[in-house]
Amino acid sequence: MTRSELCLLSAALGVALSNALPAMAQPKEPGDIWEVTNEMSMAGMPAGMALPQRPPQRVCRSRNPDKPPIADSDRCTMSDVKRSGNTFTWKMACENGSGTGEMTYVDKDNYKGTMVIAVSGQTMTMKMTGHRLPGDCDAGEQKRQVATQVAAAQQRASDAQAMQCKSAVDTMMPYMLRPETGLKCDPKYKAELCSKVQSPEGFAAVAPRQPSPGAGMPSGDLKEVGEFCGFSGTDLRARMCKRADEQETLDFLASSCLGYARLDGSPSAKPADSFGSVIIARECAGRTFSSPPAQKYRTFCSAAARQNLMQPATADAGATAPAKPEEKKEDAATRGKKLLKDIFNR
Amino acid sequence: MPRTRKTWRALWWLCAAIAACLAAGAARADPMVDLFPRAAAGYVVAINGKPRWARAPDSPRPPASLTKVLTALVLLENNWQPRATVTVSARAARAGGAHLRLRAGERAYAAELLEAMLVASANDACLALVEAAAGSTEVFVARMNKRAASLGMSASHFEDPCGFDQPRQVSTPNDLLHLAEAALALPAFASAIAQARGEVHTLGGRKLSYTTSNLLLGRLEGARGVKTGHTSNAGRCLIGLATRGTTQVLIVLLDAPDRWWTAAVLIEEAFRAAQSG
Repeated sequence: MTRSELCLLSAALGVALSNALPAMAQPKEPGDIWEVTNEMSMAGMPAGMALPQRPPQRVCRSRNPDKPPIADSDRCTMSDVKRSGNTFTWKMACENGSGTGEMTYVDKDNYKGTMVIAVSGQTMTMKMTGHRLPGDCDAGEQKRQVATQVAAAQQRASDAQAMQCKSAVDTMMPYMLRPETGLKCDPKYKAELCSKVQSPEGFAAVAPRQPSPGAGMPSGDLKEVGEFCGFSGTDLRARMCKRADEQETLDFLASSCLGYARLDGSPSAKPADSFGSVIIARECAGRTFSSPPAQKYRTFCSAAARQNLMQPATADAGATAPAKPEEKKEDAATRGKKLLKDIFNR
Repeated sequence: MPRTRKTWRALWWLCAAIAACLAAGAARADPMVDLFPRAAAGYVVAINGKPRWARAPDSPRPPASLTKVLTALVLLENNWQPRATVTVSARAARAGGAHLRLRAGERAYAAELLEAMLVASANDACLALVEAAAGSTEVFVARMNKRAASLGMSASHFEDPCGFDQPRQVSTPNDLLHLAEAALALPAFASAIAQARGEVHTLGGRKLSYTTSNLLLGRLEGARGVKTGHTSNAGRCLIGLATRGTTQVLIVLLDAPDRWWTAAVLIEEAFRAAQSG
């Protein structure tokens, strides 16, 4: 028996054991307690094999005389329910198959019936018997419980989704907010992310990110965020870094602006045209390693040196890195002297 | 049918060829990235013995005084007597570049001269040791090339034991990395290169003080020294070692205009990379 067949069987069994109540939360509904037995079989099943059987179940069923003591379940839907004397007939449509059902009240306290379901070319038959027990019950109880559980599950799913949406904003990763991911995030999250990236903190989180090497792979870089929000990431960088340059916000400049052109925020291999170049020229250039920049500028100058080393070798070198005396251009006489005597061999 | 010796030999060569192909394939599959194109004409950065970033790692260039690492290795591996006295020749006393101002005829302990050679790149100490060990620089250079070959430094060749520019004096970042690793395995070498300063006491009673040529020592966290080098042909060169915790970073820079800043950046980046895995 395949998994889908087992699912169908359990769905049909659910129908047999359920109560005939609407899906919505129900008020109290008078019901009778029935002990029901279901016996399943499948045509063509080899000898020695049997379908799983359930022991007799006690269930509460509505006293509504117009419905059989069988109900819809979440996997099977009943339709075309008819009554003729003591006999009910109906049709069933399930997830993986369909079938028919029939049941007859033998007397006021007993019924018997059959459901036949076709699935994947196989026919399953379920024989049902029911016996009314003394006492009353609330036939709306089970539906109410199910409705409560469904509502709780929906709330949990909604909470989890909201958490993921919030996480997208916290981590500034817009792809999580895209409909393709299957998440249905409230538009407020997009608005929040797009507002946050324009703040110094949000921008600083996104600006250092590099595009993903793989096409279509999300990286959360400034271009991707800009496209998601409907503005130019380059323009935003130009605005943010201009302010940081003017205010000498060194950490911000170091993490997000070095290597980008002051003119338009685009990547620049020309250190003299890049954000931070004025500070670099004033505080970093000319410093030797043994006579480093002022404490306030050391991290920034190191970042500038790093940025410079990572530029293509063919580009104009040396303007962002602190130029040391050992880099000074030598005049011809000095060079000749060195060539002759090799006096700096160490 | 029993296999003949010839068949076995053919099989052995076949296996060796397959192994070589696999090794070459593995090497190609893990190419080193040139993350810092402006760092140096040639460089390599190794984290815990594994090369991570490099530029022209197999291109031969003049190694300047990085040569002295091989000189030290050959000295230490060949009947090294640290308490032996070495007499300074007139030629050694005339050595140019960095030197201690040793005088011809002066005598000093080998261990102190070795330390001065490695820490201050003293060329007079270098020549005195070489001449004492082999009688002539030529004989010693032959030993150096033999040892370089045994280390697999196939792209290297040495003509001067102290690193002065010579037409055929070349090495590569990768070769020098292997050399440094071999030298660092010797306790006497590892101890010497970590000194920030020292003194040579001649047996005549003169005290010659020197300080390290390695600016990373005492300025960069975890810096352990190794060797600096500079000639007009080679440019600024450096083999730098730094350790933090269990992570060891070894870099080789050949012709690095900003060698100290560059070394500091590369070493910091290497530790950062090691931390992030």
